[in-house]
Amino acid sequence: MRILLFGLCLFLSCQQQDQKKVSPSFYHWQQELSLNAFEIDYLQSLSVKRVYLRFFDVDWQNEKAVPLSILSVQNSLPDSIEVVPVIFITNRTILNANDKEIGVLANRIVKKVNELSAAFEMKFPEVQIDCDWSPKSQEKYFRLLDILKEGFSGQGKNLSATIRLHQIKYYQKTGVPNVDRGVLMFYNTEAVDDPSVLNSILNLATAKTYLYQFDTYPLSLDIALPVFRWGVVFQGDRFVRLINGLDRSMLRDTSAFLKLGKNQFELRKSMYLEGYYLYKGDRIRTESISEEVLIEAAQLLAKELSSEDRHVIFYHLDSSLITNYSNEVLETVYRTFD
Amino acid sequence: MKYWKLFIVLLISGTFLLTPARTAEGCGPELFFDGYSFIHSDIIQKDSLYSPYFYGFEDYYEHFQEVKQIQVNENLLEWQQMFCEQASITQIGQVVYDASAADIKLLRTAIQNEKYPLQGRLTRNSFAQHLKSNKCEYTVDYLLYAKDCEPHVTYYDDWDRPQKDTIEMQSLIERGLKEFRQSKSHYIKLRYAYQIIRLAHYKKNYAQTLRLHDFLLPKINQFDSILNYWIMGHRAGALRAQGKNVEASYLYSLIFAQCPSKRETAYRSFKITDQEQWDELLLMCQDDQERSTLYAIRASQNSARAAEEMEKIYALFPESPQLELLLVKEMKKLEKDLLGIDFNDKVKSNLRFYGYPRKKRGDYVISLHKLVQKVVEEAQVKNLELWKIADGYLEFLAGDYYAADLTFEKIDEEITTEALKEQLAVFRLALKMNRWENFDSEDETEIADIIEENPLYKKYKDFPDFMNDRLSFVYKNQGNPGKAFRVRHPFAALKPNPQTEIVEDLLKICREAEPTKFERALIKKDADVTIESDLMDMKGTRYMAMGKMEAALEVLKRIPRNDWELYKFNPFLERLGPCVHCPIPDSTELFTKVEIIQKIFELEYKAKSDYENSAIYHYQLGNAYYNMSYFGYAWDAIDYFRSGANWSFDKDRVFPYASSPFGNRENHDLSIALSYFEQSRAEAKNPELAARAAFMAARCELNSFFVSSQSRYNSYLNTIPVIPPEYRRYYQLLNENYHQTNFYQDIIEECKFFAAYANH
Repeated sequence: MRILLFGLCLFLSCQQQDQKKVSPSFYHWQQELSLNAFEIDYLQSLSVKRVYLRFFDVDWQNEKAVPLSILSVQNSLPDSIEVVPVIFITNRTILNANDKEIGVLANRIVKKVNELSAAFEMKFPEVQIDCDWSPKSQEKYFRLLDILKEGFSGQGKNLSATIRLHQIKYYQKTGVPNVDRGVLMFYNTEAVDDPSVLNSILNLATAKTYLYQFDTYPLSLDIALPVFRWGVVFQGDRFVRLINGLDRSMLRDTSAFLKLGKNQFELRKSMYLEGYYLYKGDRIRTESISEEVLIEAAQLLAKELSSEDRHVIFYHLDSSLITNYSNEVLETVYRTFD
Repeated sequence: MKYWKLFIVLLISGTFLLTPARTAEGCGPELFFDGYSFIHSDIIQKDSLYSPYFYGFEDYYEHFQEVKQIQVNENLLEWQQMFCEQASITQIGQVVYDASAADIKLLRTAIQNEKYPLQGRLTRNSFAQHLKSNKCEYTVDYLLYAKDCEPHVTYYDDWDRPQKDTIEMQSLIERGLKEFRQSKSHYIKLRYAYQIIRLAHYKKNYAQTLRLHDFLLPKINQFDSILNYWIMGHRAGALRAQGKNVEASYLYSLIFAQCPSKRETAYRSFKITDQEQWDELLLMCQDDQERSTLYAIRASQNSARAAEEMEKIYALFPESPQLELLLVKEMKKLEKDLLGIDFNDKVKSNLRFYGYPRKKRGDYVISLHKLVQKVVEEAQVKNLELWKIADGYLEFLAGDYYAADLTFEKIDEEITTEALKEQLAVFRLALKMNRWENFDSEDETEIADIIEENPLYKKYKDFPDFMNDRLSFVYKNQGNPGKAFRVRHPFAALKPNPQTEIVEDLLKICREAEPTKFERALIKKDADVTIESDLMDMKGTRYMAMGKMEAALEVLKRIPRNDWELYKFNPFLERLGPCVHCPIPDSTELFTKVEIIQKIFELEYKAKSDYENSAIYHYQLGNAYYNMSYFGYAWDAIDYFRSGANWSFDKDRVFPYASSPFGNRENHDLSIALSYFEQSRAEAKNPELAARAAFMAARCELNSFFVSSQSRYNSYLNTIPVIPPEYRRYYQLLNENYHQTNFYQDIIEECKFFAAYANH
């Protein structure tokens, strides 16, 4: 009898472990949804069941909150993939909007998401709000989330919000948004406009200093990991622009680029580069995350997280970026959270 | 009399020069950049059409309403010219923009039927009257057509953008084509063409847009109109959508050069992404003037090294109007880089928030100056006088003041334009200020003359800041910290953290037998009173805060007795609760600072001489020092400003404070109060008094912990903090030794913190 009970317990505990599900997903951040065959294959080979689709941004212009970069859909996602609309809201929008405007904004977002999803013929289980809120905007931002949650929960939809690392470490100070889930953005750990930074996308040493309070953080977390690369252009110490997708292999021409360091280059002549006209003397810092660092990041983070159902979201879906990561590596990464 | 006026002026200057907000002339997004600019937009800016050059094209979207207004104005002006200026712009605007379709229909009825008078809102409108009297039926038909097109082409708020009704838009295109054929006026035909092509473009039928363009335009007589460029914009948009990017960019460059109202949108739409496209575009240009525009567009990027592009523009087309606009734009950037960089105390924050001064500013000013010198020498540009002034100003910005002075001197007679004459005078005045190295009383009189009499000083709003910052820098270098402080800050800015050397320097001026007028202005409080008593009070108060009561008394007693009486306090009350802002009863006796010190001395004497009661006196002394600290209700007896936000650690106990350059010093130190409470506890024979002293000592420890480097306590959390053992010795003592006292029982009820610790 004892053996039977032990066996049953073992069975139950195994069964419980099996029920925990870690699913790979992607952010889609472009303004046009027009996936090519490679991208669709990539999603299917990784058994991706969910894509977080940026529907639109909200920014403060001409004294009001306006929707920008509204998504247009050229081809739809495979039926097996569900969509989570993402709305990026600039912090200045929250800072500038008054109490009344926050209410209006929330209602407009609900309406716009419903309109767009109907137009795109997309059903969605969840809506996500991305905003790097600050102490000054916290109160209004949280109120916006409250109203959005009320609006979407009436339709049976969940609301999630992006969370930055420091907002977990200092959650008693920064507060915890009243949403159904949080998404920890495990990247942008350094200031991109700081010329002294080596890699602003992800510095594991810096990230480690923020890995506190995960055990008491009151929100269930999905995880967002970086699979993007870019070039950061400086004139002197002044940040000029980002060039998305730029890789150091594209700066091999020594007549045009003087290599200053592992990922630092200086232009020897004024020229066009990836659609931008840059000037002699401009400096470029190429930034990317290697497969090894990505795996290490996942391992580091997984240690802090309890075992639960979770989405591991790769930022972002673009064939020029994802070709740098094999299926096996991304599978290893998300399975680290199993 | 003159001195009296000077005196008043200096007083005023002493006030307004201390105004914190400083903005650069004509700078939009950089509104809060804390530097100086002396370039006046009048030297080139004829009207708001040129404002993108001042705001920067990439930041200009912030000024959407302004852009929209430029288009409206340009359109109305053209209507006015086409109708031989028979009506005012306002009257035309009422018909073209404000009137409803119903109003226009009434107007048409009135035109069709001679006996039918003008009705509705346009009854007295002179443009409507002109249209009626000249039977301009086709014009009114066009206006009605435009009104019908409006909902399909108007910019909607993107939250509620309606679905495009492409069927209705197509039917409007067909109606437009019919009316186009019927219209006899080529000007009205051109307007129909614009509406029709725009509808097709907004319908996103790009092939149709181009077809209609090619069909309609040859049927209209060519004449100069902004509509040509508006139409060109839609053609360019359609070409871009069809992937003909170079061709589209070429058209946008023409619009950029020729059509101010669409310049900003053309700039945004111009997009060349590689050298091949650029070369193709250069080949597409008809002449060097067109080619020079391409470089002007590229130079308008925020990140452009415009000097490089300007050289190319100059080589291609020296008379380019864009060249001088770019020159001014670049000089404005260099002002941010270089003007007053030695003495502007906001250089660090400017670098942090605005990226100025830039790293290679020295090389850049030299390269731009070389170009300017070449331009002046070759004398091929339109506005040579501007370049001559720029030559001197760039020398000034580069730090070659001697050369700048010579250049300005040399060209003084050559400048004929009023705006440029003024600009030259402004640069010379700024140069003069920048060259000030030391001051004597005569110089100070000259400064006063500038403030009092120089109209440019008053007109250019950056002069006061520039001059004061320079004065402050020079005074500091020549060992006058008091003057250096006062020319930049109000006296009150010294109070949150009085600086000894400034207080002493100002006191020295106050005590001079014959201060200059300038000095008198600096030390004046009101009427005939100087700030001497305030300075003495500051000095004495600082000594009090340091616990140096003898020194404090010595200083404070030298203040006239009447001035003592202004502020009174009573730090001697027993307050067991942590209430900084609780009022004290009206009947309480109040003391001046001198009287407080005297009372402290009296208590100290009694504590030494009356052994039986020394515990009581030491307890009272402990209370006095506690109450005057940051944590007590009488904090203002030894401080002028306290912020509740500073309940935290700082090595020097000086916290940032926007209204004072030296921050705000808080009196966190409770060591004297603690030592008196400990003495009282140790001496007390009465356990109730000992319990009280122990409790107050515990409060000293607790507060000292809160402002120690070990504390992570956040008062917003509303939780009981974990206190390290070394900061809760007295709580423990109270718990162990005095738990049987009545005081203990009372305090455990009142004080939740203590109750929590006692329970543990």
